[in-house]
Amino acid sequence: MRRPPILSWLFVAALLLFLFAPVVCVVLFSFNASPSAGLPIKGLTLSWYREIFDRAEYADALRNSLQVALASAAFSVVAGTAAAIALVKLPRKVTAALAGFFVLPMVVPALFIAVALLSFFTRINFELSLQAVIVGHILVTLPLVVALIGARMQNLDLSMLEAARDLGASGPQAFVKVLLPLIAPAIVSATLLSIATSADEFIISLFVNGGDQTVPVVIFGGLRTGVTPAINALASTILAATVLATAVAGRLVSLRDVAR
Amino acid sequence: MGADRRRVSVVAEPAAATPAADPSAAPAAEAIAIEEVRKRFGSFTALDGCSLHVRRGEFISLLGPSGCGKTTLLRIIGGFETQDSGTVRIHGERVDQLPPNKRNVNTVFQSYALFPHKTVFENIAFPLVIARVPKRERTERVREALELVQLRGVEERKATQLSGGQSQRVALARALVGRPEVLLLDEPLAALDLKLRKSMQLELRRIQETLGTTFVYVTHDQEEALTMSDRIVLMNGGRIVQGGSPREVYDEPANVFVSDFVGEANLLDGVVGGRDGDLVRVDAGGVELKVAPTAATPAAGPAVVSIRPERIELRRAGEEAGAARENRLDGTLERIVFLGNLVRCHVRVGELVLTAELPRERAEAVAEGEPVLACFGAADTRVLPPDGAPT
Amino acid sequence: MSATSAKAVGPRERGATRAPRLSGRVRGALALGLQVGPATAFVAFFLLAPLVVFFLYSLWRVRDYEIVSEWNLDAYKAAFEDESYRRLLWNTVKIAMGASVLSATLAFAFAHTLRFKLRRWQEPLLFAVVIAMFSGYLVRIYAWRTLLGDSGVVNSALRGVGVIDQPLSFLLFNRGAAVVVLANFLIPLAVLPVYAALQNVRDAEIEAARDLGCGAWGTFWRVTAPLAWPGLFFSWALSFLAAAGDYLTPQLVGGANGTMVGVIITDTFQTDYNFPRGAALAFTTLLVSLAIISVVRFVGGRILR
Repeated sequence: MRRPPILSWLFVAALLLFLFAPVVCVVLFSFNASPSAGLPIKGLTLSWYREIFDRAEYADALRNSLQVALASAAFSVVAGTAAAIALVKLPRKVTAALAGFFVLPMVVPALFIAVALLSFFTRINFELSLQAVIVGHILVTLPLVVALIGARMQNLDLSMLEAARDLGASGPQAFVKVLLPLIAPAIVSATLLSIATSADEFIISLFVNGGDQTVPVVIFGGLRTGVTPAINALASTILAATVLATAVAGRLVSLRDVAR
Repeated sequence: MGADRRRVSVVAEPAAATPAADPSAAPAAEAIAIEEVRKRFGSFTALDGCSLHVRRGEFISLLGPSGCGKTTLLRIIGGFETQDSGTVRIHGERVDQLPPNKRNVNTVFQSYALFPHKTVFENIAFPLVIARVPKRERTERVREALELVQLRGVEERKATQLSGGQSQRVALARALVGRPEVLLLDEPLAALDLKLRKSMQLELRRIQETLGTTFVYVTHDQEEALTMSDRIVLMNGGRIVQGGSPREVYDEPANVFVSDFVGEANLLDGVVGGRDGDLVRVDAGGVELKVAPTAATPAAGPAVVSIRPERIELRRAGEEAGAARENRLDGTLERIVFLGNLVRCHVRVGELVLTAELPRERAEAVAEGEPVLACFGAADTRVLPPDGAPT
Repeated sequence: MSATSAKAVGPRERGATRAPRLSGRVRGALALGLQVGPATAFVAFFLLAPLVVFFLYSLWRVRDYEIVSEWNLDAYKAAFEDESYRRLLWNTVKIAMGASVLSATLAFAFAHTLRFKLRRWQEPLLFAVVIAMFSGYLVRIYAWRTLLGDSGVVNSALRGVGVIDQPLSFLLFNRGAAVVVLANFLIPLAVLPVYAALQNVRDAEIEAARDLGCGAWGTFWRVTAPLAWPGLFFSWALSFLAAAGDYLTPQLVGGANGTMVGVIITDTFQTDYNFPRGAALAFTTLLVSLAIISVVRFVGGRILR
């Protein structure tokens, strides 16, 4: 009988505790009845959550974040999916080059991208606004979409598409009737993760927004005056959204393939 | 035009468009007409000028080793690759520029390529749905197709829940339900185990005969090709090397490659000597053989003598052999391999080792280690130029 | 029966006499181009072009609050000669190195445990890590203030239990805090590439090594490590780069001696509006980071030969 891997479990549990500790903290304190954002916990209340929607600043930020997330996800998913599908049909060298190209936004530090975008936008007189933020978010979510859909495409037998054409389907027909149903879960997954990423994104949003702030930027501003439970509540709201989105997305895709 | 590029023509002069007296021999009745097709992938030449004419209703196999170009040729017919030069006609019409969905040709893929998210019924109905066949007729024709491939009771199963053999039949049914004029099959039985493969071979032949559709079948298994085909087309290195009925290809191989690839053969390198009446003498590794020359036999110089193992008889040393056996070679029986109904004997004659195949009863007369007489007639041999030699 | 005379049904326009306008091949290439075009164009225009402009800015000058295209290396010179900047960069490298090595090591240990020890639970555990990755960036960083602060969770707990009287103030606003917080958000990112690399180590290879006499440590060093190295290196390099360029961590939890280059760069842009200076700083940091990454790659490859 093999020894149960106690040590392994302890290690894993400790690590996961470490990773989730801050999150648990924030959520916990968002319900804290005391006006301070730390211990002691004086009681549970939902008043802070109500405050989010009462405060114009916070409500606006939520709306902005939602707009930006949806718009950037829409573009990323459509353009990224098209690109990922084309990538498997292109010759190997082109695919390798383009794959590296699409990974670039993930590798370049976000601060770098943020200041480069700022410079660029001022140079071409592109107004700093939510549109600019959307552009930045597309940059950050596009690699994710290409990677996810690309991974899914690798697992498909592409002769299926040839078979569809062989049997009389035109290109678009083969796509809609054969390919789309098979990559639909991956597309939904990619959309959810794009939304989650966008909701979370801070540094680019900080640099190129023109006054219409997204939630992370507002939270950051609020931090200057000290953490209040309302901030915690706002953060928890976004947190709930992103975690939920990630959870659903994860169920739709096999993680092992994506780890590539 | 090199002699190793055989134009396998059914009609003597296809270029002459005069209507022949025999309508089935007219060019327009040909199912497929391929002329001088060439295809390169980067620096690799997949097809080096192939021409092929296939009659309607024929079951023709493209046979050859990996990389010989047979799959490329099939894909060009199907429309999945475009040739660099040359023309492809199906039932007289040029189809070079047509995409696969516009050609009246269907393909059975090696991986079956069934749609995993659809049921068996939906898979088979797919081409009919695309063609907007009304629902009632659709159902009927799908049932018909399933009957044809003898698959019942699986209509509602998902394509991923089938066994290999069942998937194969569904792929076949799906490709036939649209009643194509030509069916292309790309090594469809490769993934099946031996017994299943053998029974499917006969099945496929039966289906083809029932429908009368032209079948173009790609395989690297020569036994498979021999079992099913009306005609076998051998390919090697991007070229068509020989085409003919199974018997022609087996008994009259055009060169060493064909001789070696189809069936088993003893291939002996030798040098052509002089004539001996109607026969020709060849010195193979010190052993003198008498062979019956054919058009392919070189007049002089190096040659390869090909003898089928079942043509070699073994007698005990000193025995009499029949008059028809001009070659009587003294040798030693090195090894006997028991194969059930056959026995294979490896006989050493000087420097050569001959392989003979005998039915069980004959082999009881000889034993390992004993001297034997290997006998075969001059007519049992074929003398061919060595591969690669210019002719 | 008699399929030879049966009409084949299908949208096959038998009018093959009319060839399509563009040959199939050209049409195919066009379609592919159209599919991959928008995404490629977007990245080219909104990432590459800005980077180029940004680089150009580092070579220009600010005069009267306007960016003037006078070519000069002043910004870079200032960056190199400035004593405080050099110290800052060195501090950044130290912190980034600490955080990335810590992250990569823990990530590797985690992936290794998943792959070899807790096999049946691989998927759910990996899933947990992915969720952690998407559980907020800013949120997680500022939450550490609540955890490590004077009246934060850790201190309150320790005081409550009676271990200490005064709050431990060394938990926050220093280099150590920066490393820990960075690691906290880098580890999930680092796990995936390492995990993927470990998937390449097949059981058969491990068994073969054991069969041939390798001990546990030997197998690890000779079989697992070389195969996992590319993934591990990628994880580490990514972590290092991300840590070196981080702004929030030093800003929120770094304090005085945990400050990093990201803060200066941000200030240069937001308060000074000195684009050339900021750009030069950013590129210098990038260059130094890439140099360090190359060295590690070289050395690591050698060790594992």
